[in-house]
Amino acid sequence: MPATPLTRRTLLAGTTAMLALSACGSGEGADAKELGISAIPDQDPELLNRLYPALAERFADETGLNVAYQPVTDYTAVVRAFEIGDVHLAWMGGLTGVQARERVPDATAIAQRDIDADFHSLFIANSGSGPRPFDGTAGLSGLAGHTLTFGSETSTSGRLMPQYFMREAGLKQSDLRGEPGFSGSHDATIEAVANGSFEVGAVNEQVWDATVEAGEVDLSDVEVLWRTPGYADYHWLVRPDIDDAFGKGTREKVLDLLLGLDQENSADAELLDLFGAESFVRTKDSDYDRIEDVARDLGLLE
Amino acid sequence: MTLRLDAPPSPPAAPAPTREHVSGRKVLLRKLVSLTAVAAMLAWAVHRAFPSGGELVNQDGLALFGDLAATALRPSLDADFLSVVLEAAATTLALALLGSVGALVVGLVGGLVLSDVAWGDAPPWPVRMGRLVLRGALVAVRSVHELVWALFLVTVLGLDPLVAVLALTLPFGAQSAQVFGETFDAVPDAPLRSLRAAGAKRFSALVYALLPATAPLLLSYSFYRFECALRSAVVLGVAGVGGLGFELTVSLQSRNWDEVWTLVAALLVLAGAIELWSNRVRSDVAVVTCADWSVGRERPDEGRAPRGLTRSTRLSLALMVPAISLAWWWVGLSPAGLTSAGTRERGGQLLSDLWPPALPEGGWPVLIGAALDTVTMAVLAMVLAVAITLLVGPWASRPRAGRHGPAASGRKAVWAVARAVLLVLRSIPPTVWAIIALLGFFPGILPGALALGLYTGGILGRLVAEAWETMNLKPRESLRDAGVPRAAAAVVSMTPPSANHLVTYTLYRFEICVRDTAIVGVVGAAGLGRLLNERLAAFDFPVVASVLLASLLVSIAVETLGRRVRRALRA
Repeated sequence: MPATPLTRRTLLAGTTAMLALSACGSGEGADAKELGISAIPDQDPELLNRLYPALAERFADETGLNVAYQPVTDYTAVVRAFEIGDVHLAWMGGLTGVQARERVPDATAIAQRDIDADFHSLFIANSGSGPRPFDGTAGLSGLAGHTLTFGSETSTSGRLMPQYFMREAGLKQSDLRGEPGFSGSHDATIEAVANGSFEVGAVNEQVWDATVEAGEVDLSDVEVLWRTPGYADYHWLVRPDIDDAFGKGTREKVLDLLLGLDQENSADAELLDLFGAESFVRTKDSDYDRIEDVARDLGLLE
Repeated sequence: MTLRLDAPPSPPAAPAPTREHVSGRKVLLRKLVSLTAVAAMLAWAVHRAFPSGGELVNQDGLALFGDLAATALRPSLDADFLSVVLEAAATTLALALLGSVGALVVGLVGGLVLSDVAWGDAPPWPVRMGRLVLRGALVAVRSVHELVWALFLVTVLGLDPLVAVLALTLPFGAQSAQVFGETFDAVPDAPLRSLRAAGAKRFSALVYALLPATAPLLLSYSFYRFECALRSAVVLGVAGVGGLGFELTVSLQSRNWDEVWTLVAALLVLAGAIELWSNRVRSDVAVVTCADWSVGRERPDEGRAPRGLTRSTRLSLALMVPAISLAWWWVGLSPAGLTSAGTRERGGQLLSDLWPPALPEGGWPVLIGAALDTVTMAVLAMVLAVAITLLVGPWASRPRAGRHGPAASGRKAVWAVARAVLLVLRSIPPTVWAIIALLGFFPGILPGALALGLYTGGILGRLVAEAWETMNLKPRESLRDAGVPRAAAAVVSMTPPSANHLVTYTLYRFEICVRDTAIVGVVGAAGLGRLLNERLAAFDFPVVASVLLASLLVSIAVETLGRRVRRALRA
């Protein structure tokens, strides 16, 4: 746990600043206005609290605005903060992004990582639990009779798409042993499967790779059963009023900054690395139409 | 649900003259029917929660308990982290204080409107209609759990400290209004009548005639509410409103067990200190225990008279105003958020999203199934809570006899340990108990019941132990004087009233436990809470509305049933 206390402090400072700010009656007093950024808490909060304050600082340098990272503890809280306008710029998952756009008309997806256009989930299993790796969606039916945990309830890669493929394979939730769990984040899913709390888990490929690379998981405990076909996932979403609130061109500045992050620059590389990406690329709302269809189909979007 | 104090201290043993005559056989029959009903409910709950052939315990997850316990003795003592904990504790304390002050204001106003005394004999019909509507609204407001209120308020107000304060103020205010109304009605109304007859204005007459008589009780209740608000403020932290609960969630999500233990220790210290302080003030201003308050019994104690204000009570009263201002400043509260255009717009939006309610996918069977799961969870939780109470409660009653000698100090040590166990059980939020329970059980009814059972056990054990402390010892003395052996005298004389206390408080806590199932649903246990959380995550407000209506109906049904059983057992 490197620098744990520091990140905790930052987290608290961020929260208090936000509370104090919203208490001053948001809307008035343009001089004190802060650009709020936030992100779905898909991973270990300690990691997120290292990544996003650094990014907020970058945004502040580049735009000359006050930028604050607002930490939250669940996925839907980000959508709410975005809807209310406490947050103008948010790192969303495929599903949360679609939810947020439904609730804030004219909000737009502007950028995604190079890996997000063709994103994958993995089904992983505890080594002692029985299921063997398989090819093809149909193999999922072999998970009947096992316990399974998803990530967050509104996670795209940790719930929505895995559930979609389970449905394709004809595996009903009632075929599992017990109710499916919701671990809350991808890290928690990996840990729950590694220590045997659940036999099978659905996890995002990028977090899995990062965890394996960091040596945080004992590979003798967990094995990958199957890699899903690709779909579009994470992206940056901006509120339509960002230019009105922070001056014309803010949106372009933010986009330029994201697209301009360069592996050659060591500070940039560090940020990109924490995102698990080589670079950010442009995206558009229609890239997420399929996610929207699946979400409606599974009753996760009204 | 309330025993009023209809007359100034009457001889406790005297039977109420108006009570209808009930034959012994009828009483026995009623008790048998009640017992059978309870037994049937238990059997049903066990059957529902333990499907035949299914595995219950997740063997593999049990290893995690080892990890958890291994770090228990090594909490994080890092200076920076400790300062975070300190700040978080201050936030929790401040939110609890502001929330309970809000609740008391609502309670005072609402209580005056609800009380018969304030309106005189025959209030005009619009007043009566208004009061009926108010009464219904208050029942609805308090049947929704604080955490659910917070989730809704966040949708309207954003991440604002007002969310936490209002989430405490609304349900607690509704509860206080009812208690205050009953307290007002319970004082003799002669002073009020004479003031009115002498030409005093209605309001001044109320202030002068009602407040002096009820102030000690109201003050005592306020401190009791404060204790409850502290527990709830921690639970709200889980929803992201800051404070110890929020830190606890972050540390649990990061699986930093050493930090978890530090935070738990901070919670225990804070809760313990507040309860000691509250106990002291309550025993100063009026001899009313938490147990009395929880069942709405403002008891004019036979033996002990109020001792008058001690110095520490005076001091805490003098500190109230500065403390409230300090808390206000610390959390940065601003009522501006309430009246802003954005709030009005989003509030209107939320209401129109909620209406009309719609059935969840799967229709009635899903909704009814979830409601039944909720009741099952609450029943099983109460079984565990009663077991804890029976095991720990007798030791947690303050020893009254034989105050000297080594045996007495041994008994005192046992008493302290027992009270500490109960404090731990009720101070750790049920959401955290649920996360721990989910390590060892598959998601479903059982981990939820386990979490709620542990938490409720801590509260029930304390209530029952407190009630036992005030039990009349004379029957025991008489039996002993008559030559009955010590142990036999104790068992024979103490068991019936003890059982009575246990049953009363168990039924009362059962009603609250049903409401509390919403909180463990949020971490994925089962029942209406899980459905609510899932539909909130999908922003599916019409179904959220029908889930809330279902929980309201379950609450009312359980409360009505509880009242009937209590009446049957009392007769």
